[in-house]
Amino acid sequence: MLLCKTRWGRLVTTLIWLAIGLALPVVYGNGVEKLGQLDYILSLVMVGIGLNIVLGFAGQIFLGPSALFAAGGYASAVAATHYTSAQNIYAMCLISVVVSVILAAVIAALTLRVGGFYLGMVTLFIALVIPVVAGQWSLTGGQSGLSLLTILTFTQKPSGYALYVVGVGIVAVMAGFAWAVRSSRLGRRFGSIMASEDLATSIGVAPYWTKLASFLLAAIPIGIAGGYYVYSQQFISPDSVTVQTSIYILAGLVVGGAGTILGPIVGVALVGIAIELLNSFNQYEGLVYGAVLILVAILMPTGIMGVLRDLLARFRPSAMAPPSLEELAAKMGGDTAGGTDAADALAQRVAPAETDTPPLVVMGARRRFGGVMAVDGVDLTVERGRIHALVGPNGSGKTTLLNLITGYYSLDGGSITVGDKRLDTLKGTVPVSRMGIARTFQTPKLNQFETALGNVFAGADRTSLGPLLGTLFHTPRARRDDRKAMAASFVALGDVGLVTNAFDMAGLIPHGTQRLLEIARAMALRPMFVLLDEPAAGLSPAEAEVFKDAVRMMARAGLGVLIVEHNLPIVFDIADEVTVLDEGQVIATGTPAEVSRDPVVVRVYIGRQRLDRPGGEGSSTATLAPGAT
Amino acid sequence: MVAGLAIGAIYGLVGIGYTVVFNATRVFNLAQGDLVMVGVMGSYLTLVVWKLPWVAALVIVLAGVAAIAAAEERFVVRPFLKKSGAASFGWFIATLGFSAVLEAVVAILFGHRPIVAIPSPLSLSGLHIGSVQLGYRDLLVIGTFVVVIVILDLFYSKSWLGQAMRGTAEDREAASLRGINPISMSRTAFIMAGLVAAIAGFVIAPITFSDPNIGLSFTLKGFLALAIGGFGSIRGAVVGGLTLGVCEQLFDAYVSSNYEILVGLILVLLVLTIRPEGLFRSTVARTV
Repeated sequence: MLLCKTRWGRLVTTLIWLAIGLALPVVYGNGVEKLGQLDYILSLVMVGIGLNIVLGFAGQIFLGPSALFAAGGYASAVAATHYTSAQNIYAMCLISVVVSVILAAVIAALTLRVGGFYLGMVTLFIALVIPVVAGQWSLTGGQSGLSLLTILTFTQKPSGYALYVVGVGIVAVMAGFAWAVRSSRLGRRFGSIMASEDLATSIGVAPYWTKLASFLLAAIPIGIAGGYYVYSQQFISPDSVTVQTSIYILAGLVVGGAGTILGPIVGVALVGIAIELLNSFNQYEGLVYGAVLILVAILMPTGIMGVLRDLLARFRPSAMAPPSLEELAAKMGGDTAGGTDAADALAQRVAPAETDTPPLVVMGARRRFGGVMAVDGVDLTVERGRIHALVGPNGSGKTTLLNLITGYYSLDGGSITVGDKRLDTLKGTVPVSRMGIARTFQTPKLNQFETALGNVFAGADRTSLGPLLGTLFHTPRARRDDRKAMAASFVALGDVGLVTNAFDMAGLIPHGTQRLLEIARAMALRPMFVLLDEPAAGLSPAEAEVFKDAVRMMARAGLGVLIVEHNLPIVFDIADEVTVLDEGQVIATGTPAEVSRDPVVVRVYIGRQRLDRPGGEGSSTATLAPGAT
Repeated sequence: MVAGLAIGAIYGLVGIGYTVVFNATRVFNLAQGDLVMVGVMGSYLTLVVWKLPWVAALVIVLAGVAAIAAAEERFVVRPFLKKSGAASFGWFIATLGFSAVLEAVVAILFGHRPIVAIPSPLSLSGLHIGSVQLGYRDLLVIGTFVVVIVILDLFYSKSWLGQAMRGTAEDREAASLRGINPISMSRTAFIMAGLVAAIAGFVIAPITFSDPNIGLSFTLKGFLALAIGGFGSIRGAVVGGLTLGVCEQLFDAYVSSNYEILVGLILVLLVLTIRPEGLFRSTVARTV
C-alpha cells in the first residue's frame, strides 16, 4: 500500500520512499563498517519481501526463509570461489536465485500437503538443519565458512555507497514485483487460499499448485538477497544464516505489516537497525525483540503499515475511498455496470455449454461415517432450468449429499453423473467445480479482507495456469480478461442487489448479505448447476425476496439449482421439485404441493418435534393437531 | 539403545506438553521447549546454586515452571483465544516471542555462569544385563515418562475435566454453553503443560548440563516427535518421540554424529510422504 490513490500521488510517494532509502546512510553513518551493516539489512529486507509473498499474500506459514537465503548465498559463494566468471554481482545473484528457487520447489513439494503451523515447524527445522550441514561440509568451508577476500581475482565493483544504491534499487524493484504479484490474478488466488481452502477449491482454485507458485515467487527475492549478501559482505558462514535470521525477518514482517507492500521493507529495516544498535547490549537483544513480538501480535496485528492505513482511512477518507461506479464504468469502456439490459445480462449468465446439456443425476449414492449411513442409496435428478429443493430433518444427510456431489467426500457406492461424464470419479472438489458445478456454504466462506467485488471477481476468474503467469506482467491480454471478469462480477452482484455494496469489505457486511454475496460468487463462475447450502438462513424478509428473485432468475437463465434449506415456506414458494430425506434415505419426491401433503413427510417433520418435548412420546395421533395437548 | 529411548522420552515429554495445550486450545505453544529449558535451569539454580535438598528443589521447579506457563497463558495466549479461537496465527508469533523472552531472561540470569553438570542422586553407573548397560539416569527418565503417560491417559479417559478440555478444543462455544469455562480449561492445560515441562527438565538436567540454549532444539525436536507420531494424541507423541530418539542414537553409532540433525528431517519427510497424518492419527472427517 503506497498510501495514495492517484498515479501522480503514487509516483511522489514512491520517490519519497526511495529518497529515504538513499539518504539513510547520512543518518545511520556512511563508514565502511556502517555501510556493510546497511547492506546486510538490505539483504534481510529482500528476504522479508519474499517471505511476505508466501506468508502475507498466500497465508502459508513458512518460517524458514533463511534456508533459501542460505542455500542461495552458499551457492553463489561456492561458484565465485571456483569460477572467475561468477565473480560479479549479476552472476552471483542469478546463481543464488536459481538454487533458491530449486530448493523452494523441493521444500514446497515435500511439505505443502500439510498446512498451518505444521508447515511452519517443518520449514523452521529445515532452516535449522542447513547451517549445521554447511558447518560440516568441506565444499561450504565448514564452520569457518567461505570468504571471497581470499580470492585474488575477486574485486568488489560496485562497492561502498554505489553498492548500497544498487541494493536500494533491488529492494525497489522487488517491491514493484511484490505489487505486481499481489494485484495479479495469481495474487487474488493467493487471497482465496489464505481465506479458506474450501472456498478456493469451490471456485476451482487448486490449493497445491497455487501454494507452490507462492513459494517459487517468494524464492526470487530471497535468492537475490543471498547473492547480494555474499557479494556485499564477501563472506558467508553457518553463523550468518542461522535459524535466528529467519525469526528476525519474521518479526520484521509482523512489525511492519504482513500482506502490505511496504510492511516488510519498513519492518525488517527497523528490526535490522534495532539489532545492529542493540548488539552492544547483547543479552537484552532477545528480551526486547521477544517483548516487541508479543506486543505487536496482540496490539497491532496488522503491523505499522496496517495501522497507518487505518489512520489514513479515518482522517482522510477521500484518499482511501474506492472509485465510484461511474469512474469504473468509464475506465472499462462503459460496457458493464449493473446489467440494466435484462436480455443482454441473461445471455451473459448462460453457461458456455448452453441449455440443452443433460441433467445432474445422482444414482444410489451411499456414504458411511463410522457406523452411521449418512447417505443411504439416494437417487436425485437436477434438471437444468429447474429449482430442486432438498429438505429433511437435521442429520438426514442433506449437506453430506451436497458434499458428495461437489467431490468433498468420496462415494461408498452409487454414481453421480452429468450426461456421460462421471463426477464421482474425479479427484476432489476442484475438477468438479471446473465441470460447472458451483456451490455456497452453510457458513459463508468469504475473503474477509477483500471487497464484495473482489470476492465475486475471484469466482469470475477462470484463467488456466499458463496465462495466469502472464498476468504477473499485466499484459494487454490479462488486462482484457480482467475487464471481462470485472463486468461479469458486476452482473452477478446486480442479480443479488448488491451493486451498491461492491466496495464494502466482505467481512463487514451483514451475515444475510454475505449469503447473497456467496450466491453472486457462485453465479460468477458461470456454472451449469448451482448447489445452495441453506442459503436463506438469516435473511431479512427483504433479502429473502431478493434471494427468491435471484434463484428464479438462475433457473430462467438455464441453470439447474439444488437448494438445501430448512425454511420450508421459502422452499415451497420457489421450488419446482422437492426431495425429502430422512436418515439418509429419500422418503418423498414431488412438487411442493404433493410433498407437503405426503403423510410420511408430515409424520417425520411433526413427529420429531413431539419427541423433543418432555413426556411427548406415545401420543402420536394427537400430533397432527397443534395445541391438542 | 537405552540412551536412545531416554532421549526419545525427552522429545516425547516435550511433545506431550504440546499435545496437552493443543488439545484444549488448538494453540501450538512454541515456548514449550523453553519451559523444559527453564526446568533444567531451575534444577541448576535450586540444586547447584542454592544447594537445596531434592524434594524441595523439585517442588520449587514444578511450582515455578507451572507459574510461568500460567502467566504465558494469561498474557500471551488468551488475547488470541478471545478473538477468534486459534484461527489466526497471531498466537504463533506471540508464543515465539515468549520463547525469545524466556531464553533472554535465562541468558541474562545465568549466561555468565559456566555450564556444569547438575548432580543427580543416581550414580553414573547402571544395571548390567549381560553385555548391555542400563544407566540409572536414563532409566529414571524413561520411568518418569511412563508415569506421566499413564497419569495423562487416565486423566483424559476417566476424569470429567479431561473430557471437558477436549470438548473445549472441538468447539469453544458449544463447550461454554454446557457450562464449561473455556478460560479455565486453557489455563489448566497450560499449567499441566508447565508441570510436564518441569518434570522433564528436572529429570534430564543431569544428562543435558546447565545450558540455557537448549530450548529451541527441544521445541523443534518435540514438534518432530509429534509430526512423526501424529498430532493430538498422547500416543502419537510417545511413539514419535521414542522413534526419533532411537533413530538418532543408531545414526550416531553407525553413520556419523555430525549429521545427527538430519535424522529428524528425513524421518519427518518420510512420514509426510507416506502417511501425512502421522503414524497414529485417525483420519478425521472434514466438515463444511
